Amino acid sequence: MVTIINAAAWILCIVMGALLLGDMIKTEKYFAEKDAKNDETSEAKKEVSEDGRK
Amino acid sequence: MAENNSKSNNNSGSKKVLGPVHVWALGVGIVLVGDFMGWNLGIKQGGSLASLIGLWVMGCMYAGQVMMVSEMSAVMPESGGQYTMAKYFLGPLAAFNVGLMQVFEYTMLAAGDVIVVGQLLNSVLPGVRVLPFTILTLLLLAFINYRGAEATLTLNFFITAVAFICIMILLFATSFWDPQTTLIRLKELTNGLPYGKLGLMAAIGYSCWFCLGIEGTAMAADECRSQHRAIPFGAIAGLATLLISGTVTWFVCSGLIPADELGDSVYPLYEAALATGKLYVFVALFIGTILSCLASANGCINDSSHAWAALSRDKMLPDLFAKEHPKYKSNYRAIIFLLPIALAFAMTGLLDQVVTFSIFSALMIYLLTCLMLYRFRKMYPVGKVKRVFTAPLFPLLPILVAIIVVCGLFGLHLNYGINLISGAVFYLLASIWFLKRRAKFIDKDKFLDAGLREWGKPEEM
Repeated sequence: MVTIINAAAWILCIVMGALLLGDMIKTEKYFAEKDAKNDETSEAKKEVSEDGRK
Repeated sequence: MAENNSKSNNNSGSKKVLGPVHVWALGVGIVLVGDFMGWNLGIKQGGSLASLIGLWVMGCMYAGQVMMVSEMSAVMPESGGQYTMAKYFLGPLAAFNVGLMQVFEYTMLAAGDVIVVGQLLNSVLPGVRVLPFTILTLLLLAFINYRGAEATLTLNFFITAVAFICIMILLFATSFWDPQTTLIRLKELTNGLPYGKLGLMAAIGYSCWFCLGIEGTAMAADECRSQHRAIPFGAIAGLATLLISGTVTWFVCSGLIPADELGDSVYPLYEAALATGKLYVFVALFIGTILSCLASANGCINDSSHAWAALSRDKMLPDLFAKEHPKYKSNYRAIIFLLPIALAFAMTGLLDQVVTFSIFSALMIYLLTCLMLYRFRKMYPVGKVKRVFTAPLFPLLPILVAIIVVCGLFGLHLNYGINLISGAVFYLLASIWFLKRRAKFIDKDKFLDAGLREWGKPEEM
């Protein structure tokens, strides 16, 4: 019985750790994509304004 | 003024969902665990009476702290509690230290809480291993905090209320009101002041365990619907609750367990429940101890991550920790970063060491808070900046609070001198690192900009 409780606690630790890390990785990816999009937009704007000056 | 405050607070992006009840729950939830474990070290150091005197002396100190913090937090242009106050009134180095002390005060407290959860489960079911339950408890609470303050504090309110009711169940189970059937034997079981004045000083240091962390309520200002009402009201109501529960805890435990046994107890309230011989009391106190530890660790993770993120937002730490979760609006990076630190300390299982470092950090913050109020009154006298609440008896109040804090530090050093020196060396090294590596990133004009815009130029720097 006690062995099962201990095993269940370890399994729950892994599940909780996976949930936390999983969401963190997902969030980091979201921010990375957002940053990449922002960079692209600002570069495009730069190019347009440089073309306008020419 | 209020509009200005709320405008600047909106910048952080946190949801404004908390009322006075949430603030009360955050304060009491972090601290109520002090009734369930740790406070009885004061009895070991100074005797039964020293512990009770220490509770009320420290209660006066905390009343002073709450009044000082309430005056300053209500006019702050941003959240962060004592850290923000230190930033505007003492400068970057003091602010860095206060922020770091807050982080370690709460991280150590969280580590202590989960140590107790693991060890209590182990004491009930001896085959159960401490380590997986210690880790699981921390991970579970970190996950709840990760999902945002609203879920965290609603849960805190519930478990704090249950833990408080459990103490009351124990009190009434002793039939204290009836001299014929009462289980309370204060005269036979207490030992007064066996070590005299020095013992009393030592007990005062540990007595702050009854209320340690109540000042953390000021850090929730950013998420309050009306911080001017919620913070002072929630904090004072919380302190009153803690003084009542602390006195009841001392009364019941001292009346049920002999003083020499009580001083060494790991779970004093739980052992007092066992001494009643009533099954329902035993079950209630087991649940109460577990829930109070969970509530405390829950609030501590919330507060430490707030403090860590605030340091990062001001560039005192690398700015990657300042990012909020896009959905839950929590300081998710700070929560994940502090998790292994809390785990590392919790896995040592050294409860007294963890507790001492937490108390030392807290007492240092209290000392600096006295200095902050003094500076605030010098820089912005009472007529110059509109205050929602004004702390009475200035300058006597900060002086009295500082004297009690110094007595507490002196009392702690009697038995844990090496720990205090280690703590001081740690903060000294951190300060050197800050001056060498981070001070150059701080834009001094921008750093104080929000405060100067809100209050104008100070009368005295």
